[in-house]
Amino acid sequence: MLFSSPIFLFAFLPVVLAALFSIARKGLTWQKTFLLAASLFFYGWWEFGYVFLLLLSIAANYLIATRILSNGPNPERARRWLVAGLALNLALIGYYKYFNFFVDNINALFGDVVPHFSIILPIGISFFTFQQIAFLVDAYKGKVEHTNPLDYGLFVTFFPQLIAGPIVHHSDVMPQFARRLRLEPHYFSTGASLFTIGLFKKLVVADGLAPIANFVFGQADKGEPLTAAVSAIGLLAYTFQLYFDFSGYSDMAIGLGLMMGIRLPINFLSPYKAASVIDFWRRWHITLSRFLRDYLYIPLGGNRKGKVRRYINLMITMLLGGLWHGASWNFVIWGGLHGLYLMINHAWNAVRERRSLPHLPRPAGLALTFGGVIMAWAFFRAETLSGALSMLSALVDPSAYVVDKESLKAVVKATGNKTSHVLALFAAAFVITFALPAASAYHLRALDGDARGAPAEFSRTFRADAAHFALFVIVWAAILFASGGANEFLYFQF
Amino acid sequence: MNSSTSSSDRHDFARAFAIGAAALLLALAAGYWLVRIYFTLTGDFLPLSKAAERLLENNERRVCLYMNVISSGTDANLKFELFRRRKRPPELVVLGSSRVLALYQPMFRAPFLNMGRAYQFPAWEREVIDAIDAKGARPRLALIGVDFWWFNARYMRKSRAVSSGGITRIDPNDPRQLRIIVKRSWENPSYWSLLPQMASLPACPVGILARLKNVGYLPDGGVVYRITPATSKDRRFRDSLGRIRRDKGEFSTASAPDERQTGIVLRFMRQLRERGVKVVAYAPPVAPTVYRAMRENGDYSYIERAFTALKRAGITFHDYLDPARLGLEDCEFLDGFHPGDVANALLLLDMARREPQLSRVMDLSFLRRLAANRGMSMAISDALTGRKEGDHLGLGCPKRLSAPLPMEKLSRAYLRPPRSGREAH
Repeated sequence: MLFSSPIFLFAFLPVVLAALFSIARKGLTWQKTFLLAASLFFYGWWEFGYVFLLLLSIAANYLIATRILSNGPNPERARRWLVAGLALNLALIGYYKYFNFFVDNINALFGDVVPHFSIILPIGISFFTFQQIAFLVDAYKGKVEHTNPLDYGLFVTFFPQLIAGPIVHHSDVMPQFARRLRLEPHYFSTGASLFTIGLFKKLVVADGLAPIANFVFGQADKGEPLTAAVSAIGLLAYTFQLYFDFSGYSDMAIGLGLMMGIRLPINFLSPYKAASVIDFWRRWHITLSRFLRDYLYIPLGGNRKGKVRRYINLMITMLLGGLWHGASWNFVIWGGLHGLYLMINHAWNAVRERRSLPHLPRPAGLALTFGGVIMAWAFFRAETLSGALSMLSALVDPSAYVVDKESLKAVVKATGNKTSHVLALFAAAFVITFALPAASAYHLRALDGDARGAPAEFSRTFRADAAHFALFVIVWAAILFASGGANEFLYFQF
Repeated sequence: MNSSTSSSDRHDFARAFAIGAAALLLALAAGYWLVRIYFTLTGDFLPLSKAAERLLENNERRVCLYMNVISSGTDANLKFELFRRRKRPPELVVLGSSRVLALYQPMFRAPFLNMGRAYQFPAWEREVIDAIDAKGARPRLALIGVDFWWFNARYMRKSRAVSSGGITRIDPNDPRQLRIIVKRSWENPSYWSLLPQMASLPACPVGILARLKNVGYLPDGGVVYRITPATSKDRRFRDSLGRIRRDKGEFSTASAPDERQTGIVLRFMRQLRERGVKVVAYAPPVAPTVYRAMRENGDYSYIERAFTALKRAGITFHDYLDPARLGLEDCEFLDGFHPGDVANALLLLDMARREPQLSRVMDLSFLRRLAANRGMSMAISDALTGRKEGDHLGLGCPKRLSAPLPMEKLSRAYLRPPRSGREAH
């Protein structure tokens, strides 16, 4: 079920909220059981058969976690259970996500020697697998004291974050499940506002720009020649589409959590305002970055084993991070590019500190980072390597710098809208990205008490006042009148 | 004191905001479900698979028609569903754009399906081939109505025709479809007139336009038209002639055919032949006035060259673009470039003369009877609905049904015998 689908908005959500709060007086266990059932229903709406896979994964991980916890005094046995748990999770994700990729590569090297399996990727498998791996590792490290099946099941399946994150750490939510969920006006109004903004980002901006990105990348993948202008428009459209799609989803997830009284972690902090790639990864898909840092980069040795190992660890982390996004060499290249960017960034910082050089002016850092990130998106979005290279070569090929009105008209035509509508979409994307604060931070700060005295960037917060309610109504009107066609969320595929 | 008042105020604001937000969400939900349930019961939001089923099954007492108010982009999928769900596979199909829609089962002796709009543009080849492959049973013969603008690079580049993106499904979750239905029913409040009896609406017709206006697709894929002087969009061919004058749209001029599109058309026909389907292609005619304007006002030499390329590639191709070849009149057209049923009867009779093999699948006596109604363009539609065609083009056309159509033949084609499990086709 998509957050942006009418069936979710106008049936599932109102029914779940009404039922959740009306059974509050029956007790916490009732609420948690109901939420778990609702989350499984939400997941099963897409493909009922995979509910069993999800339940199997939860049951196996829970049992392994209890084994690890009960073997606390015997680290060697606990370690064996951990290895078994990791192997199970990696086998599961390996089969469903990477098996055919592996077969493709074997066949490319040795001819058609291994048959393809018809495997449908279970939605959200990358997310719920990572959450469970983190739980097992923390159980082994003694960071988990105890758990029970209901809390554990709800931690994994809690529907706002189940299929596309934020990747929730058990310490983020499990303590919150220990108290009864009541309708709290502050949380509800803040959540409703944030959810609506996320919905706007997804339905109006991301889905509005999607046909442009689809059209241009489709041309590139088909080997059609592109002009520099068309390539740039396609890249920019995808750059904004991905950001608005995914950050919109995260905003909706956090908003939904708040409406139920649960606070999920922030996933995006205006990433395109980053003035360096290091900064970008502190703002983009923050919960994935946190996971990769805590459960991959640091266990690899992080920066504790010298500069060379640090760079190698960075590259390994980013390559695997790329592969996490999808079974394709394009994702690996994308991860590798970001690994390279990070290495250059760290090296530059080291040189700058050693020679007491000044920081790059912020606009220059911002432009450089934004440009680098856009270039890397070409590999992330294109279905073929040649398509990605075609997108990028059009930007550096002098012969592609021609004025071709027909090709520009074709791009606009692909949207089914007028040129003015397309320009307005890009303008909205620019303004929201660069001039407005990150929506989830803006809203969550409202729950942290008074923000007066904070630095300017953080001093503005959501308030449940008349102005914000007017904005809430206006945003809904925009959603109703200007949303694009129904599209799935991009991060569902990962 | 101040602090607690401020906190209490904030709490009140938050409560008011929460109540307002919940009320808005519930109001939207109520509106959404009303629209969705009502237009599902009318048939507009019915999945096309179910709509096709209804067309094929619910035609015991009256002819079942389908026409939704959402989008003509769904037509192709309706045709694919009709093709898929026919228990007795069609032996003869006609493929092409809306210009082939006035071809009907009674014109043929072999089981027939009109797949007009399922091959609106050459780029839709994959969908047609996939549908044929999925069915297993293949038609023996495909008549393909070839639109001249398929070979016009200027038009094809500007239109969305270069991909199959124009083929849409019915999707009540699609905000655009929801908006369209709300907007159109807002502009035409009569679309809500069935609300009081929404719980007891008959299964057929399917779709609000079919229910209220008695127009739409027949179970054989042909169309029951209703064009009146008030609803015609091409009176005195103003629209068609305007496009020719402005060198726009389908009537854009060009001297050389688009080689890429020609290649796609040839590939499509080759794929059909490889599947054992005999292919007969033809160019549907345009109205005499429109044809004259094309000759006089612009360079359309690409058309002749494209048609020559088809013939050179070994395609059986009949060029009826010039209506004079069939002796057609303006009055026999639905508009400037859509031939009516009488024009199509004349076209099929001529084709049968040239290809004796084809005459075996045609009902020549029905075609001759239909063709005797010169000057008419919607004779079959009128016979099925009891309407009388008017001078919808405003050309002073005398509309007289001189040779009434055999109703038993039409009934046999479109009505299922009661209490019989058999399909009508």
